[in-house]
Amino acid sequence: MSRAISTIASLYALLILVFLYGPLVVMIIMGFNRSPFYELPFQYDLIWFQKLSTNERILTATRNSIVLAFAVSILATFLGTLAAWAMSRYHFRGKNILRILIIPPITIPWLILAVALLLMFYWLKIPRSLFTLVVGHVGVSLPYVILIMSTRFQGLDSSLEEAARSLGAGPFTTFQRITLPLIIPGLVASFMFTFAVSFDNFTLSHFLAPQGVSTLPVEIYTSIRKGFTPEINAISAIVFFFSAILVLFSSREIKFVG
Amino acid sequence: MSSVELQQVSKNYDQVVAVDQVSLKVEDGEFFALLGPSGSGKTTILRLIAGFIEPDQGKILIGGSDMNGVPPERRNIGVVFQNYALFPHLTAWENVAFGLEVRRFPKKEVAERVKEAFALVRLEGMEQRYPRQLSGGQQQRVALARALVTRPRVLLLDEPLGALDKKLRTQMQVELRQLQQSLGITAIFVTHDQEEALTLADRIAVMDRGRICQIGEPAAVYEYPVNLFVSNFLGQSNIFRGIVTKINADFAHIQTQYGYELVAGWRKSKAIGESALLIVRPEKINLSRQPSEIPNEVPGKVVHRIYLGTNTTYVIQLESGEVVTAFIQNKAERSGFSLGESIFVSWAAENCFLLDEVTQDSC
Repeated sequence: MSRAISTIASLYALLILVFLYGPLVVMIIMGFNRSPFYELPFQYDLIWFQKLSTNERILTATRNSIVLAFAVSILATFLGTLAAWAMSRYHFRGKNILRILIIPPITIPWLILAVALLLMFYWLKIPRSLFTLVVGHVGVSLPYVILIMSTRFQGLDSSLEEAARSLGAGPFTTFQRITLPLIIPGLVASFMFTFAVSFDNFTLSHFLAPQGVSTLPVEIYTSIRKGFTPEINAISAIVFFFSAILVLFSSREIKFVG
Repeated sequence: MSSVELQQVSKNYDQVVAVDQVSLKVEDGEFFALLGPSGSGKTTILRLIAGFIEPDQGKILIGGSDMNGVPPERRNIGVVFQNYALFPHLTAWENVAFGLEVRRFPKKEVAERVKEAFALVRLEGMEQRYPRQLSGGQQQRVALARALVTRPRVLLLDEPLGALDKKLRTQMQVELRQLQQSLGITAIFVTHDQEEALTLADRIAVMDRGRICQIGEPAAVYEYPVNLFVSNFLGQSNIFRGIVTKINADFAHIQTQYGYELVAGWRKSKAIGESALLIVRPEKINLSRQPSEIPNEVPGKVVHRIYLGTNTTYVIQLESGEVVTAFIQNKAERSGFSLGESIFVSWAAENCFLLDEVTQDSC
């Protein structure tokens, strides 16, 4: 009887994988198809990758996305880690309230957050700029970083830091040689998570980016409305390829310390 | 000079008084135990001496210098934590070397001293292992080596043997003591295990709820406790309640409610008519089938016996209803007593003492 159940379970898992990866696989494959109208039969051609290398709009947008995601990840990880550190090691007024208030923003749809941010910048008389873009991205990422790093710090025994102090290490040396190495998995996870969120983010970028600055998701959206070619598939395939490598690498990192 | 002194030190956490105006002085080279139940403030005192927390009132002096405002890294102390606190991402060797590297010792000297430290705790061969690859006892030794390698003035130990099994613990107690004596280092040791305190310490401070009840050498604290709390915490006590009826230079007589006339060889200053507690420890009690000339003797019945290898514990119910515990060594010439047997419980006057009557069991 259990043999039948495990077969059904395997089939079910397979179905889920097909459901998840089906569209992705189709999309990637069509990037290698010669027809600009996605017509079958399939003819292998690298023409769209070639065209991509000269498509300034898409390349610039991709570059913007990468640079933005990098900046946002570094900022959000840095600020979020400091916040999580303070919350885990010190007692201060309002700490409990803060701890509770970190969670709700995660549940609010990005569209609403984007409009709210837009309004706020309008009232503050700050025009849309790279600054507003970064602020928006960092803002929505912070709760995640704080959550990830809080858990990391909680798991970190404070007696380790005390031991280092008792052995002659000042606070900075202690952080550098003891705390930091032990929270690196959390930092890496925070960075990658924030990077992925920022890179993929359409809503915030669409609302908060200044005139003339485009990110890849925004560019793809615009292309879909205007009319597009499988260059979109080509760039998506490349992005997916790099994401896959990143995820594989990070899962190994996280498993090592876990 | 590496004496440690607390002068009227207090520490509060929110509304709770963790340490209440505690004063004590640990002499240079002494092995000093802070003994008490959990919540007694003993660990807080250790952390105050280490500098992890600051006192709300009072002064802490190490080697005669006021430690106010001095952070842990400048106090030149060594700490062994209850959970060892070994750095998981460093090897045993790197753990032990940490204190020297942080102080920028030259590489050659670091290597020499670390090697020496591993030899001292008899853990050669384990240097390249990570903490998770070591047993509890081995981790303990690494923690000790790490704390000692910097040749601190004072060694602070927070229940360091608690996680070890009994045999290992006994072995480590002996090694720890020998180490401390051969190095001549001042050591302050926190424990809730009275046996451990008695074994290791030159002097013991018994604590309860943030206060020190009594400080003294193990024998003094054990044989002459100042109150019921200390008497109960260190060893067991059989308690008789009564009124003082007669006093002379060496002895005090009391009469219990039931009517027993008992004599104590030592007493806190008591006056005739005052109520008092007469305490006699289980190992001081004799049991026999025949009455004797011993002044303290009462009849009773064996209601429970526990064989413990080295001795047998008897629980005897007296005619008064009171219950007495006796430890009788298992020697061939003394045959054991059986359950229900009627026997005589006796003890010498010099082997019991009087304490104040108390309403609650605290200092």
